[in-house]
Amino acid sequence: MKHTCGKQRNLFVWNVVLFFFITVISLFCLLLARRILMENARKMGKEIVSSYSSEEEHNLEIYKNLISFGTAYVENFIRKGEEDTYIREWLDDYYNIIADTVGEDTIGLYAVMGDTVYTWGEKEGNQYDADQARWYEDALAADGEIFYTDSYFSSIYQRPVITIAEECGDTGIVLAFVIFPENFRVHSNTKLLPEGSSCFMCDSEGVILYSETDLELKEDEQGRSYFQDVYRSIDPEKEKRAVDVYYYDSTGRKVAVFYEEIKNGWFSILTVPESYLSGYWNIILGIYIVMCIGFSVIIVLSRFKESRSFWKEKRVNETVHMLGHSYYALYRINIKNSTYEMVKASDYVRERLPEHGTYYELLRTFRGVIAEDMYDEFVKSFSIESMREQIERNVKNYGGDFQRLFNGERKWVNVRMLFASSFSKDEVVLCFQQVEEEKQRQMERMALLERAVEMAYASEKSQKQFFSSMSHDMRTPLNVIIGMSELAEQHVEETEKVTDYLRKINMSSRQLLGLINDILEMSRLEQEIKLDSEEFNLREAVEEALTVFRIQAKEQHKKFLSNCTVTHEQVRGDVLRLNQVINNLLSNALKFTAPGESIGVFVYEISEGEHAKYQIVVKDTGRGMTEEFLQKLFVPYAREKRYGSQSMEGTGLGMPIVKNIVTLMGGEITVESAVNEGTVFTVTLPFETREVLEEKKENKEPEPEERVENPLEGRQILLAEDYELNMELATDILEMNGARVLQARDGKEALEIFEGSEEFSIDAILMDMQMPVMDGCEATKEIRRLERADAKSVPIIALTANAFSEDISRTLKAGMNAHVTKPIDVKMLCDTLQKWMKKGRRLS
Amino acid sequence: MTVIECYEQMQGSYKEVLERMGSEAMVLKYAKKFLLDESYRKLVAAMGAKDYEEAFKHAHNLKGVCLNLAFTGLCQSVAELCDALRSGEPVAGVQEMLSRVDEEYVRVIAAIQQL
Repeated sequence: MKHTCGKQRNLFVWNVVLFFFITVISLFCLLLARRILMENARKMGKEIVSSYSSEEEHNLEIYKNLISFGTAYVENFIRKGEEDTYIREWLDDYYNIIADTVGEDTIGLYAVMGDTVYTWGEKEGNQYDADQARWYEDALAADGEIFYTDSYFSSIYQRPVITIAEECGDTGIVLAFVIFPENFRVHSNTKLLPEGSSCFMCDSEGVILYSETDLELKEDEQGRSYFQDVYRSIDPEKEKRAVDVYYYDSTGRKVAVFYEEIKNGWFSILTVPESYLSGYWNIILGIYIVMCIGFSVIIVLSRFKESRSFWKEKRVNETVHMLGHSYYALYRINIKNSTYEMVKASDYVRERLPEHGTYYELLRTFRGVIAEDMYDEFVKSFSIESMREQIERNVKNYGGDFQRLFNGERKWVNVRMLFASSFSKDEVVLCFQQVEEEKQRQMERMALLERAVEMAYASEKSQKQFFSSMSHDMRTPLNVIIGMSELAEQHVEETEKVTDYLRKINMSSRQLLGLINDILEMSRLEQEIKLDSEEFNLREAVEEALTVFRIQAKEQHKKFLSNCTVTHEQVRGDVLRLNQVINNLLSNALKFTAPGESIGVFVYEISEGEHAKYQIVVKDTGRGMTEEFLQKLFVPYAREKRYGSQSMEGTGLGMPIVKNIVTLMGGEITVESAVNEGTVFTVTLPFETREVLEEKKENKEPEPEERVENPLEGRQILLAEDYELNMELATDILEMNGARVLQARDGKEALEIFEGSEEFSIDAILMDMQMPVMDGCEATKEIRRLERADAKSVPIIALTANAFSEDISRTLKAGMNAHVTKPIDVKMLCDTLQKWMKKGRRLS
Repeated sequence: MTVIECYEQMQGSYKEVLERMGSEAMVLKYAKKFLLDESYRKLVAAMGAKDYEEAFKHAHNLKGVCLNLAFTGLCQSVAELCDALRSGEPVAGVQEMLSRVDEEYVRVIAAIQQL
C-alpha cells in the first residue's frame, strides 16, 4: 500500500514539474513572439517614418537646388555688374521656370534687393521693406547656406508658410521661396500607412506643417493640441530603450509613436494605434490561452482518468492482498527457463534464497522443510516436466497436500499450481497454504468413514458367513430327517422300522436344535439387538400386520392386494421384527402412492426342506425412485441434503433399519424401482418351520444310515462343469458310486448333449452355476423349454459355491430342483441325486 | 512325505478330504493334479492386468478347487480375495490379499511337491 501511495505521489510531482516546465517554455515563447512582433512593428514604423522623411528631404532638395540655381545666377549677374532691373527681369523668367517645375500655386518667390523685397507668384508685384522679412537677417547670417524657417503666419498670404532663403554669394541679395506647408505632403507612400495611423510633419519648433490622418482632426486648436501631445511624447532616450513606446493620446487611444528628424531640423512623426500592432499579438495570445486551457483540460482529464484507474487498481490490489494472505508462500515459476520469482515466501526460504533464481535451487531449499517421506513425491509432482505436462493437459488447478515442518512440527500444507494461458503461457503460480486444521478434520472424517465402512463390511461378511455356515452345518441332520421321514412314509405299515426311523429323526432333530440354538445364541451375542424366537403362524402374522394398512389404503382410495402362498405356515422367529419390517415397507408404499394407484403384498415360501426361506414382496405403482437414490437407500442419513429441494418426509432411517433387521434375521432385502413406475421391495427371510421343530422334539439315537453299496449304479448323469479339476473330481466321485458320466464343458454343451440324448436316458443333470458361453441358470431354462417328455421332469441339481439365498432363489427360478454346495460331499451328492432321481421317475 | 504330513504342512484338512474322497489314493491323485492347475497363474496375470472381472473368475475357480481338496489355509485367503473381487471393481487392499494368497499357494505347492 505504502508503495503504491509513494508511486502516486511521484507521479503527481512529475506532473507538476512537467506542467511548470511547459508553462515556462510557452511563456518564454510567447514573450519571444511578442518581442519579435514588436520589433517588426517598430521596424515597420521606423521604415515608414524614414521613407516619409526621405521624401520630404527629396522635396526640400528640389527647392534647395532651385534656390541655389537662382542665387548662383544672381551672384553671377552682380559680378558682371548687371543692373537690378536686369536681375529682376531674369528673376521673372526664373520664377516662371520654378512655377513650371513645382506648380504655380505652391510657391512664391521673394528677392531682397537693397532694402526692398520683391515678390513673384500669387502676390506678385508686392514690394515691401526688407525689415519686414524676418527670414532676411537669418539668411544673411547663414553665411551662404540655405536657411529654412519654421512655419510662421505670413501677413502677406494670411496663412502659415515656410520660407527657404539663401544669400546670393555675399552680394547682400537674398532669394527666398515662400512655400505652403501642404506642399510637403507626402504623395508616394501614403498607402503604406497602417490602418488608423497618423503621419505628421512638423518644424523644429513642433509646429505642425501638415498631417495625414484618419482622425478627424481639424487644423484648429484641437488638432494642434493633439499633435502637441504626440510631439511632446517624443523622447529619444525612451525610444532607444524600449520597443513598445506607447502612450495614450488625447482621444484615449493607445498609440505607438515613431519619428525621424529631417536634415533641416524638422520632424516626421508617425503614430500607429496599439490595436493595429497588437492585432497579431492578440491572435497569438488568444491561441496561447486556448492552448493553455486545452492543455490544462487534457491534464485534468488524464489525471482524473489516472486516479480512477488507480483507484480501481488499488481495489484489485487490496483484493489480491486479501487472497494472498491466505497463502503463506507464493512463487511464480517460469516453466521455460526453470526459474522462480518470489512473490511471498516463508522466513525460512527468504533467509536462504534471493528473490529470483533457478527452480532447482528452490526445490533444494524445500528439502529442509518438507517432511522427509514426502519430499520425493513433492519433487516428482512439481518438477518442471510434471508441471509442463499438466499445462499441456490444460490442467488449470493442480495440487495436493503434504506435510511441512513449522518450527520442527509437522503440519499439513496444501500446494496448488495455478495456470492461466491468458496471462502467461510459460508461467505458473505455486501457492502454499496451511491446511492443518482442515486436514485434521478431513482425516478424522476419513477415519470415521473407514471405520464405518469396515464395520459395515465386517458385519455383512459375518452375516453371510454365519448364514453360510449355518446352512451348511444344518444340512447333515436335516438330510437324515428328510431321508428318514421319507423312509417312514414308505414303510408306514412296518411299525418296527418306522419306530427306528422316528428315533433317528428325533436324534437328528435334537442335534439340529442344539446347533440352531448355538447359532442363534452366537448371533445374539454378535448383535446388540436381540432377536426373539417364538413360534407363530406366518400367514396370520402377515395378515394381522396388513390390517391397518388395508384400512388406510381404502380410506386413501388406493388398491390393496395381498396373497400368501406358504406351505409351512407355522414358523419360529421374531414376529415383532417381522412386523416392523412389514410396517416400514408398507408405510412407505402408502406414503409414495397417489389415490387410484395400487399396493400389493405377496408372501412365498421359496425353499423348503432345509432352513426354510420366505419371500415377502411389497409392490407399489407409486412415484418410484431414481437410480442415484436407490444406491443410497439403505445408507443411514443418505437422504440428508445440504442443498436442494425437500421433497421427502421422514428421517431417512426407515430403510436402513429395515435393512438391519432383515440382515439380522439372516435375510436379504433387494429393491427395484423406476421413477413414476413404482417400487418392488423383496425381503427374503429364513424361518424355522414347524416340521423341523416337531422333529426336533423327538429324541432318538442317531444310527448309521442304511445305504446301498453303489447308490448310483447304472445311472447316467450329465455333468456340466467348465473347470477341469472339478470336472474330474466330480466324475470320479460319480463313477465310484457306479454312475456313468456325460461331460459338458459349458451350459450350451450340456443343452446340446441333453437335446441329442434319448428320452429318459439321462437320469439327472449336475449343473455348475458359473460357466462360460451359457451359465447354469440359462442352460436349465433352455432344457426345461425343450419339447421332450423328460424336459420338465429330469432332475437338475445346481452346484454352487455358496448357499446365499439369492443364489438359491435364482436356481429355483430357473427351474432347478435342488442345489449342492461345494466342496462336493460324496454322500450328500449321492443322496441328493438319489432323492431327485426317485422323484423324477415318479413324475415321469 | 505322507499325504497326512503334506496336509499338515500346508494347513489343510486331511480328515475332511479323506471323508469326501473316500481313499488316500484319490486325495493323492488330486493333490498332484493341483500342480497342473492353471487358475492361480491366470489369477495373478489378471490381477497384474487389473482385469478384476477375469481375476474374480479365476479366484472363484481356485476357491472351488481348494474347497474340494480341503486346502483350508489357501482356501481362506482365496475366499477373502474372491469376495473382494466379486464386484469386478478394484477394492482397497486386494493386492495385500493377493500376496497372502501367494504365500499360501507357495506353501501348498511346496508341500505337494514333496509327495
